[in-house]
Amino acid sequence: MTQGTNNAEANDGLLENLRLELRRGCLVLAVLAELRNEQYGYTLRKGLAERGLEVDEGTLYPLLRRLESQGLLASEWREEEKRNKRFYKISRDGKLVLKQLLAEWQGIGRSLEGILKESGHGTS
Amino acid sequence: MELLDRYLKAVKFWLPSEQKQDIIAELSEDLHAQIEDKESELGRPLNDAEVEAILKKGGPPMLVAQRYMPKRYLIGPALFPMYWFVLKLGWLFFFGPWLILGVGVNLFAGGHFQGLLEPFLRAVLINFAAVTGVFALIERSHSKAGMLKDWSPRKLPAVRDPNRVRRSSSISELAWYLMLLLWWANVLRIPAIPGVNVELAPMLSRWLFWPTLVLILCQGMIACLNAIRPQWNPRRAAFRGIVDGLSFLVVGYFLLIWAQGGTLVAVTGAKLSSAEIASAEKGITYGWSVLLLIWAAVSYAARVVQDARRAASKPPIRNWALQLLVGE
Repeated sequence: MTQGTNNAEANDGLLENLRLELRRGCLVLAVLAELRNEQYGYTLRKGLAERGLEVDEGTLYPLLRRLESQGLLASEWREEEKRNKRFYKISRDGKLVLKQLLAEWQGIGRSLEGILKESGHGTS
Repeated sequence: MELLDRYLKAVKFWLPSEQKQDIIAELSEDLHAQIEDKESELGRPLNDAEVEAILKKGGPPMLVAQRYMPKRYLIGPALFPMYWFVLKLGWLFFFGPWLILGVGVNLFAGGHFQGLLEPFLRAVLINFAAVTGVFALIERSHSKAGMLKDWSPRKLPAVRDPNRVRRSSSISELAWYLMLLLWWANVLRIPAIPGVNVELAPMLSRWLFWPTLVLILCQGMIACLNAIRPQWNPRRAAFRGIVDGLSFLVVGYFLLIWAQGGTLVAVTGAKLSSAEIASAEKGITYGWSVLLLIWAAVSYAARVVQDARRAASKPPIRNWALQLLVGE
């Protein structure tokens, strides 16, 4: 294996880690927003994937549990299409947090856009 | 669905018992839904390889289970730097010298390496377990929270002028060289054994008595000057560099004698047989005196480096291990 291939692999690994880090924070926001309408895990995952935010089950379900234990989501087991499914919905506290997070997110977006424009990496 | 059942069973094994059923039910539902979706897309049941691909995408069972558990540390990231520092201190000042000197003494004195290794490994293990245990307790206790919360920039140690000499180290150095001078001049008799006289080996006392005496006096003088005016200047550093360099050569010569199988001391005593005298001379030469000499050689070598930098008006190397080694 050449030095060039090793460097390319290392860069790919680094990029993947940074990408995951970047997505991690956004994911909470996306999940809370999606769960303004009640859904169960699999449909939520499909919905996020259709909007370009693919999440594997090993990431999504622990996150749902964490958000539920923090009081931001509520869940209940129900039978649907002859199968038991756990349905999640955003709670009242969750709605408040979502509102604050959205404001924060928009603020970050504006700041980042300004920074990128100044440094000549503008998105537009 | 045998593969799926095996996968779920393996994940279940690693999950916390109170959540096992709930998590597995949800995960099972998701995986079943994925398989059904794929089957309706292909219009046929999935074969084992296709099910395997879906399960592999989910990740290894232990990793999947671990994601459901809170992050747990024996020693967390906040305490870890301090824990690592304490372990390193142990190696630098205890295990490192023990290993290097122990191996040296054993090899040259014809001892058994195995005899050294066993207590060494035991001590390393005990130290590691004790330090880890103490830090794990701190991690779990509330003292850590207090320790990290009650900090203030005002409580942090002051940045020391690298050319400022600590009075305490100058005074202790002065005391050490005074004691060495008395011992070298045979006023202080250590080791003191009734009826037995321990002196410097004739060859050493003939060639090295006066040069060593002068070097000890010079070292004492520098320590005295540092205690009165505790600030290095290039001239004083250059002078100590020369004295340290010569001290290193003298200590190196002693070590050369030891390495060639000679003795550093001459033992005399009316009631001692020649075999007992030879054994005592070897015992003193190959015992702690050699350890002290090796330590002194390393310390003088390190001091020469710092002296040379100060003499050239450069800042000394700011490495905590090196600074401790030279006693700064």
